[in-house]
Amino acid sequence: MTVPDMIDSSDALAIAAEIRQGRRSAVAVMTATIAAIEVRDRPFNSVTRIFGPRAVAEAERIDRRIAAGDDPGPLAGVPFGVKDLFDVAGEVTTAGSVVLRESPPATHDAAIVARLRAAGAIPVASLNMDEFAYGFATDNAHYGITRNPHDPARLAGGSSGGSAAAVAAGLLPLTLGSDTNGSIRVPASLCGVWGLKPTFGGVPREGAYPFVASLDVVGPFAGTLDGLRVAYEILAGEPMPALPAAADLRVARLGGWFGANMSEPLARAIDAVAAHLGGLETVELPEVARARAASFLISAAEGGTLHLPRLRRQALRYDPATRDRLIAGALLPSGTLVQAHRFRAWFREQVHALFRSVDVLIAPATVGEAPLIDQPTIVVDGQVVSARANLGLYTQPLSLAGVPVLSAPLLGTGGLPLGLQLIAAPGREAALFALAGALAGAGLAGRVPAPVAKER
Amino acid sequence: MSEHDEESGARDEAVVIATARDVGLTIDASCLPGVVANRVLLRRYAALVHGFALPDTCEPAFEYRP
Repeated sequence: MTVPDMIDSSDALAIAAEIRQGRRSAVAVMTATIAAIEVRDRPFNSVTRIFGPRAVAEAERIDRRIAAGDDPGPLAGVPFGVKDLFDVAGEVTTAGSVVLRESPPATHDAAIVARLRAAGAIPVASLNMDEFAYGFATDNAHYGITRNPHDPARLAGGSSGGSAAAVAAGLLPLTLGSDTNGSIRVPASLCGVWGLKPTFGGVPREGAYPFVASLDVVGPFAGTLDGLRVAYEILAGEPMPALPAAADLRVARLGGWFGANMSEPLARAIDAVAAHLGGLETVELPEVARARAASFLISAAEGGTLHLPRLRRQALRYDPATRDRLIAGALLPSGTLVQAHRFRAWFREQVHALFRSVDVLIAPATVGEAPLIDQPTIVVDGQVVSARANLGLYTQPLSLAGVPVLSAPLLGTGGLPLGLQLIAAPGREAALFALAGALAGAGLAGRVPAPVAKER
Repeated sequence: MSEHDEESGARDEAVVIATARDVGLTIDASCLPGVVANRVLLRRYAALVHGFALPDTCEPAFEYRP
């Protein structure tokens, strides 16, 4: 079953255009979306709850407004999903845990859910995640593992794995996620969809269940670059400045830490991007290993301290993997946290120095394709290390800086999806979209259709 | 596991139990191996961060603006 006949179910703007122009009703799109989730999500487990009756009722309201000559907004009738840490009024926000399952339903929408709703979009499902967003795998002891639509034997990545997999499977054109250490960029890369981690502080987090206040950022996934751009502008509450000409951008390739350990197919794909852009200068950020360490430590300490009151009472109800990380984080000495934050201030200056001569940096999003679910280790710097813990190898250091990063799905890699991080100075999302558009126009980037989507 | 490893593991568990007590947390025995493993990982990261000399004027980025 597909969303609407002859409409690309991954294209939010095409769906909105059909509904706004009266060629398709919002109710027809919504009922088809719900049916598609019910039938086709079983192998992937990206969805945890469907907001069926209320989503259809909202679609009916959109249709009535259009019939009355109103403009319901640029995303009229577009179904979207939310990582299960965003408040949706009337629903319980679980943050992927049973610990919060008995909490009262949310009284208000999260700020960005409300903004999408005001633009006409309709929340239809909550999406799977690592418990409390602490992980890179979306392997959840309570709600199961989310499998990669490109190969269900592989991880979808995390922690916003349900958000990426639902778009990759063609179930939803637009989803919301959060990114603390790479939780938008890693699953977007492994699932072959577009994802954006906006500048830290640039999109409101109200109504998103917190993890690490110093690093948490919320943002969108989409099946098309234009869908991602429109969603971002709605989430940010204002349009971006005009996109610069891609040819005018000073683009460089991040080397050093970001040039080591990646797979051969990924290195070749990035070489192709660099060649298309005229051969790129390679630049390096200093002390990247320490930046990643600082991000790790801040996450553990802040996350652990946030959960400490509940861990005192009901630790054994947590997902064991999350619980043990949180407890270890809660026990970190204060001096370590302070030093990590001092290092962050220093690292910020190094990042700003680099952006004085560069507009956009490119770097791999992960070391390679999605690991097999039963693959426990990978090799990094010659050492055998945990595959899951190292999915954030290239994303975590950039989280520390708080810069905006667009995860672009690379085309022509000849295998499973691989993602490229496009990185700009704070507030320069427009430069990211300009470069991403140029790469998409050149056939180097774009959503990678999953096998199930091709069969439709 | 060598005698040294066993001693080191027991010492790590004792430190975890004592530190947890300082923050009002009792750790169930079933959680100890996982917590100790995570603590070992975090200590390695802490060593990296502490191993970098920063000027005294470098302030913590508690209210970070990118």
